[in-house]
Amino acid sequence: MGLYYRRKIYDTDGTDAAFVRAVSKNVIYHQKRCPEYAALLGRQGFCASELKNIDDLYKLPPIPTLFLKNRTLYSVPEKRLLLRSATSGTGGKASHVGLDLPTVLRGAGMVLGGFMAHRLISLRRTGYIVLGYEPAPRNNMGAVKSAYAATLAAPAYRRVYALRDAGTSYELNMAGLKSALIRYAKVGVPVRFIGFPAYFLFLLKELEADGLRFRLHPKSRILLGGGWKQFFSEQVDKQSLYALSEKLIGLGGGRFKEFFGVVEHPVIYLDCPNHHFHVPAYARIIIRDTDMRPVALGVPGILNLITPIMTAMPHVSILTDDLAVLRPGSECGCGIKSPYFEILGRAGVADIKTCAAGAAELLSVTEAKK
Amino acid sequence: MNLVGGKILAAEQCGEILEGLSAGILSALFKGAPDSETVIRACDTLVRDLDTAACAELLAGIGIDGALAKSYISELRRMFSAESLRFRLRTELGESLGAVTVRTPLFRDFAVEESTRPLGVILHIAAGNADGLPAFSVLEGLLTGNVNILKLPAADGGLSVRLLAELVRIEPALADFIYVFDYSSRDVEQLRKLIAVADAVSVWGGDAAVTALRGLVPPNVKLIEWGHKISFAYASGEITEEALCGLAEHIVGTGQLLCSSCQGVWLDTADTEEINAFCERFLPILEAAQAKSPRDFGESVRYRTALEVYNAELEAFYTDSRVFKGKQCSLIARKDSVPEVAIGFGNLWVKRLPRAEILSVLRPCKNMLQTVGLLCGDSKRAALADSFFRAGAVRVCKASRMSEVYCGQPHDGEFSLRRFVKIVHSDAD
Repeated sequence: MGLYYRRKIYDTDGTDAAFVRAVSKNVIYHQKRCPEYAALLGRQGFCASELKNIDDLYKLPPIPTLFLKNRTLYSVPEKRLLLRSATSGTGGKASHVGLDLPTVLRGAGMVLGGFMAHRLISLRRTGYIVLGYEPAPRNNMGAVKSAYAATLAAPAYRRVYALRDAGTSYELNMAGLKSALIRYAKVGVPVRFIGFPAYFLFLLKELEADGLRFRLHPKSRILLGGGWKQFFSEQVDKQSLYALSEKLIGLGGGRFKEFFGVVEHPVIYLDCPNHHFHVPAYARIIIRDTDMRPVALGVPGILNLITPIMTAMPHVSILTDDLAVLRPGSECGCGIKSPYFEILGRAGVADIKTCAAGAAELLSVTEAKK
Repeated sequence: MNLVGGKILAAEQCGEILEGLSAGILSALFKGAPDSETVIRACDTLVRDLDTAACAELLAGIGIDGALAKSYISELRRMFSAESLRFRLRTELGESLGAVTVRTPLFRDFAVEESTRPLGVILHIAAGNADGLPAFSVLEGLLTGNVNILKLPAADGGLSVRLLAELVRIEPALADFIYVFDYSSRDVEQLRKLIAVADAVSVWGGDAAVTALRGLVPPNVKLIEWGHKISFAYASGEITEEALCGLAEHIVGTGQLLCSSCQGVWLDTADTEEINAFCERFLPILEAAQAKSPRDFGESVRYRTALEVYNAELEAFYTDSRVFKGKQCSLIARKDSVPEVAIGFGNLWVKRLPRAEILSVLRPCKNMLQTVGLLCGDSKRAALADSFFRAGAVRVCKASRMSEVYCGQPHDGEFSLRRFVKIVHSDAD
């Protein structure tokens, strides 16, 4: 538990030894309980005894998120899962992730430590603007759950959702958001915006179009997670978003806090004042080249996330389809010493249209019918 | 970019145009399109004056450069030359458009005249997988005398509009017969308005695009679908080194991106050892072809491919397959026979498919198969081709020729110009 319940959450140097021990223990635990995982590692010629120090971490074969979209690996019976999430699943395939009690307890420490280190815990009553779906039993998306979890960091004066649950469907609640903002500004409570950057920009554009401007409580915050990549390459860069926010609601870049996370790897990454994601004590990051070999700091490659946090599923080392670069902490200047990563984009064929990819959908239909 | 009346318009101006669209279309229909020969001459001029350097630059932008770009450009010149277009019209429509045949039907005592006429108005909904293809579709509509409305694909690089604007500059009489709109597929209202004025909707695209359109097109509008297809190679008996080299060059040359690109190789065997032996033999040949003419699809694709190959290596455990990894290419030997789309970019599967099972394995994929590239001795060629045609394929050729096109070639089993015309008949007495 020492990795998760700690004040100095970015002390990676001081926790290297403990981290490797925890990973090694976690791997052995999963190998015993998940025969598929054991076989996978065995076929790659890996043995847990190879994990002696932090430089050995790369030897643990990473599991691609791609792989997990076709197969779900469990190390505990499914009835032991407390929380379940699914990825938003572009193209119809989604990864399913479940957390059991030990994982949830570790996660609670991680969230608490992270929020405290980033001064997100507050006792002031806060008006929430959630730029996403209102939680509903039928919605199992990880993003909905993390957005809701983020509203627990300060007691809620009120929670208003951009997509309101209307029983069987969701409706866009732009009027509700605007009137909530007017109320929050009048009452003078700090406001927290939570959601995807695209939605936040959309809200700002709406306010701008209506000629609405607010002076919100100076302790207000904008908490954004996911979806920068595809979005910012085309429309607006972060600096112009900060400027627009400053102009319309009086909250500039300093009030923004960004999250990064992937469902398959339940670790929260929070950005520093320079908007960089530093590696916390309970995770390590390896960037890999096209031959899956680790690359040096500063060299771009595939983002590989490692954490021993999960006991329900053998997601120790996850290979995302994000391209990223890891930089030494000293290059950031915020004072945090652990390295930080930048997401460069997604490894994909989005720019190239193939006839064959379209036919793939047809093939799967055909196969299903057989 | 939008193009109306030969002028490139900004998106804001399109609303008004759309409102007046049916009036514009009526006047074009009343006037009648310029004859095929006018279109042919304009095209011929267009390709003769084509700026090779500018074209090469455009192609380089989509990952095609060097010798390949040169061959693409000269192919483009040949395809659009007056000679080719006249040949196509003759091959596909027989007598020229509008030519009248008079005959007396069997068992009747009156004469009829029959002629080929344009459908009227064709809405082309183009796919984004080949830059410039949308313009080609419009050209086919012009050749057959139709009024053409083109809805550009989201990923269009602007080549289509430039080509069509240039065509109108050369032949201003074509201006009223070409409309290009840059709506997104999500602009359903606008799409409905375009569909409402059309006699036929010609749609290129994936399953999702075609299915979505089927819901929008009313029964009195003809739907012409050009769906995605997949292609494979089939090897039987002794395979020559030359045939394997030809297949490798085809795979590398097309990046496995085209409908006619080879996704995988079936072997006429039930023996796993033979499949492994084939992979061991073919891998160095594929590697050599990659090394000889490497194509760069960009970093993102390189990483994606690497991820997928690594994933296939992990999956191999479950599917009992085996990955033969080469430099920037790989072969995945699988136990089943089911056709599937390859990882691409030099990474394909190899599977078993004994001759006797061709029909039963491929039948479920009807209307999706396009080309089968054969690697076999001459004596087997005809029988194998017959099996594949029965199973639904529309082209059988040497593996090296799978993506080679020729003038007057049918497309997915049809002459495309024929789909843009109707046969009318009237009394001749």
